[in-house]
Amino acid sequence: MNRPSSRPTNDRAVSSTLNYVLSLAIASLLVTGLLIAGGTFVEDRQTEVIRSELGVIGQQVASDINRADRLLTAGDGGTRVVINQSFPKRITGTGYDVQLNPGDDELVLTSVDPEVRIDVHVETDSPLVSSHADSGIVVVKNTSSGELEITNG
Amino acid sequence: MADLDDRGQIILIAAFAMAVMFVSLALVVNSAIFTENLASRGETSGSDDALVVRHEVEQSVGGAVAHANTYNTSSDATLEANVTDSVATIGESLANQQAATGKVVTVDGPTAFDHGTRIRDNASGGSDFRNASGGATIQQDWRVASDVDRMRAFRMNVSSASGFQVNLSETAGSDTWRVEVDESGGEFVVTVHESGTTVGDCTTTGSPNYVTIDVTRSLVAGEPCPHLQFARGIDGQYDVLYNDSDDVVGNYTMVVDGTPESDNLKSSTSAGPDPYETNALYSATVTYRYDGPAIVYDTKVRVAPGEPR
Repeated sequence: MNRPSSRPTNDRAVSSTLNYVLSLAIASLLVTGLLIAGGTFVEDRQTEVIRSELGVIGQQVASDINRADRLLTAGDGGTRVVINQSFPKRITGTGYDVQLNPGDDELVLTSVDPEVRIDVHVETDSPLVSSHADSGIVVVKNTSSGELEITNG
Repeated sequence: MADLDDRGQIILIAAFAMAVMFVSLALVVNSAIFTENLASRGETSGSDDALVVRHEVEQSVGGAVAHANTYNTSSDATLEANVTDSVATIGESLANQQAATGKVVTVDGPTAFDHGTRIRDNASGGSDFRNASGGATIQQDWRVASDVDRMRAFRMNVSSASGFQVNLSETAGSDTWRVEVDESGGEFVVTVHESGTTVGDCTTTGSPNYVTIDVTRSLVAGEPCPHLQFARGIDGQYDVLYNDSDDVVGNYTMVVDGTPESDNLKSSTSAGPDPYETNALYSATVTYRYDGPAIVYDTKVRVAPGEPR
């Protein structure tokens, strides 16, 4: 093959280097895309799992509150009820806390990172008192004035 | 030209990063599985069992109260002493029984008693329901008790009846509640009236020789009678009256927390053809404590066997 004589000789073998650089760039791009997509997928799954786990824990605490309410209603004065149940300290790598909100008759569960919030409705005969519990063993008990509160055991 | 040993580094790093990602995904999925496990967790604290044992306490102490009211009613102190002894025995046996399954149950007391009067006519073979010939003339319409706050264990065993009525009338107000017992064609009919309005009736099936009517527990011949809701519509204290009590044959018993009409009742504790009154415990209150692995339940249980709910 004849080349024009005017072409500089330092252009030789450029295509293989270019080929190398381009394939490197494309490979990095693809891998980065894959990692970002995978990372987002895992994060989304984590948020979903935390949401359902908070929901389940909220329902369990709510049924403990209902059990305590039932025992309190069945009592004939001077009643003391303490019910405890242990829950995981961390759910999918994050801590959480439980807040009993008597104004809305709701339990509010909030995880730390990522921050997910779940509201669980609680309906009782006995009055509820605004109280708070961290993850771990959650205790439902009645106060001296016959209100139900949550705390840590 | 790059060294051949250094090739494929991006793929290596990518593979490592993806491995980490898959491990995190596995952890997340594991948490999801644990969530399902937590969601299927049933009653772990034992609050149901605490209520079951509470019911057992109520039944057992109720039996003790009924027993004390039937035997040796010579004085209130005797009744209290008998029930106190029984409660100690009940507490001990319940504690032993529950200890076998790892629970500590304590029953103490009674801490309080309500006294009342048991009115009974247990003439052998049955008699009419007229009053006793104490201070009053025998009549078919008579007052059994007045200013009654509460009443329990009112049971009748009737072998024939024709228009016999039990009337409850408010002491302060004007509302009434009435039960009428009739027999027609071998069947017994129990009709309930509230302030003059008929609520409904319950009829026995077949042609029984007798019918048991548990007025306070709403049972006719052992079957629930939905119309028979004791003292519905009556507020506050009431008087208990019998009408047409010569038109019935049978026995009856009741425990009232009120003033029995002593003129119409014998005071003898011995059985006889006429209605008589004895000292009785209306209710007893015991303390009950249940300690389980995840529960503490400490309360009082008021026991009044046969009281309408």
